[in-house]
Parts: sequence; structure tokens; C-alpha cells
Amino acid sequence: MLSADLIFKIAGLAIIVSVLHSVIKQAGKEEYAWLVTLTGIIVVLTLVTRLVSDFFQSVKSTFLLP
Amino acid sequence: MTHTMVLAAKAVGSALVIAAGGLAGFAAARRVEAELREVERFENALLCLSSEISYALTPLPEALKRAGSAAGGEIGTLLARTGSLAGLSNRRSVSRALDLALAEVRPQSPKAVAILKELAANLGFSGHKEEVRYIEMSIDRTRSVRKELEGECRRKARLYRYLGLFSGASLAIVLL
Repeated sequence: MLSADLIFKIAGLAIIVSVLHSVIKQAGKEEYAWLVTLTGIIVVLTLVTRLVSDFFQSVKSTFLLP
Repeated sequence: MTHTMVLAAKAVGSALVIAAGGLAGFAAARRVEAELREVERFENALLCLSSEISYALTPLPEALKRAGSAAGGEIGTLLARTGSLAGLSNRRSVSRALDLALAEVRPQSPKAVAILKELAANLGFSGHKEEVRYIEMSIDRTRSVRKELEGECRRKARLYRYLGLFSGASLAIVLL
């Protein structure tokens, strides 16, 4: 997957999660709104896990860390 | 050619996922709004029952049947069935007839059923003036339940619609 695709994907998810958060908050269920935001964060973290791992590998190889 | 086909498949798949989420949300919203409609029908049925008893002096079982058919919906069916099961010819009180009718018809509004149960316990034991007074008390209670439900149902229905649509959209984005 291209990195630009991933960025657009995360941006789309962020827009949807923020709209959902405000809608649920307006309905008076603030705890569910935070739950939805947390789910969004977890989904995005799952998407970027491999990239973060690659980044750490690059850092390690660049600075010759064991 | 293959690239175009993949893109088209992705677009169709995303549209289907969003549509499925939206439909689920709209179905949940419709279920929420159905309770409000039932309470509105119940209020109309009680108004009709009050008019039948106070102005037309219709016997209670017949009045229940007419109010039920005028109101319609599940609550109307319940009232009509109660009317046909109650009365001297069947040797049943309204309360007993309602219990039997509830075994056959189960309306979507538990609040309306609770008010109806309390009303049924007081019907059929006194003169028509007393009965009308009991019905008017029930109308007042139903009115306050309806007002309470109106705001709540509208908020919940909007929430379910948004949730359905946006859940579908976010699933489509993750799957793309």
C-alpha cells in the first residue's frame, strides 16, 4: 500500500470519528462518544503498526544499534 | 482494464457496505419511532373511548372495540381484542380480558401497556361518569409519557441513523 493512501485513509477515519463523537455527545451519551473515539484510535494504530515497526528498524540500522 | 475493474469492484463494494450500515441504522431508528407512534395511537384510542362512553353511552366492550379500530396499530388491535373478550356475555372483567388479549398481541410500547393495565383494573365496576374520569386521568398520563418520549425518540433516531451511515463509511475506508 502506498503511504499517501494510508494518510488519506487515516484522514477519512478521523473525519468520520470526529463527526460521530459530536453526534453522540449531542445525544447526551458522552461516555459512548469517547468509546467511539478510542475505537478510532485503535483502528488507526492497527493500520500504522507495520509502518512504525519499519521506522524503528530503520532507526536501529541507521545508528547501528544492537 | 484489470485496474479499472478492480477500482469498479472497490467502488461497488464500498457503496454496498455504506448502504448496509445506513439501512441498519434506519431500521433501528424506525424501531425507536414505532414506540412513539404506538403511544400517539393509544392517546387517540383513549380520547375515542372517552367520547364513546360519555356522549354515545356505548357499552364498555363495544366502546373498546370501536376505540381500538379507530386507533389502529398494535395497541388498537389489543384494545379491540380486549373489547371482544370482555363483557357480561363472556363473563370476564376488562382486566382479565386484557390479560388474555396481551397473550395474543404484544404492543411495542410497554409504557402504554402499563397505563392500560391500570385503567383496565378500574373499568367496568362503576357508572359511566366515573369511568370517563378514570379515562381522562389515563389520557393525562399518556400525554405526559408522549411528551417525554418525543424528544428522546427524536434524539435516539437521529443518533442511530448517523451511527449506521458513519459505521458503514468507516468500515468501507478500512476495507479499501
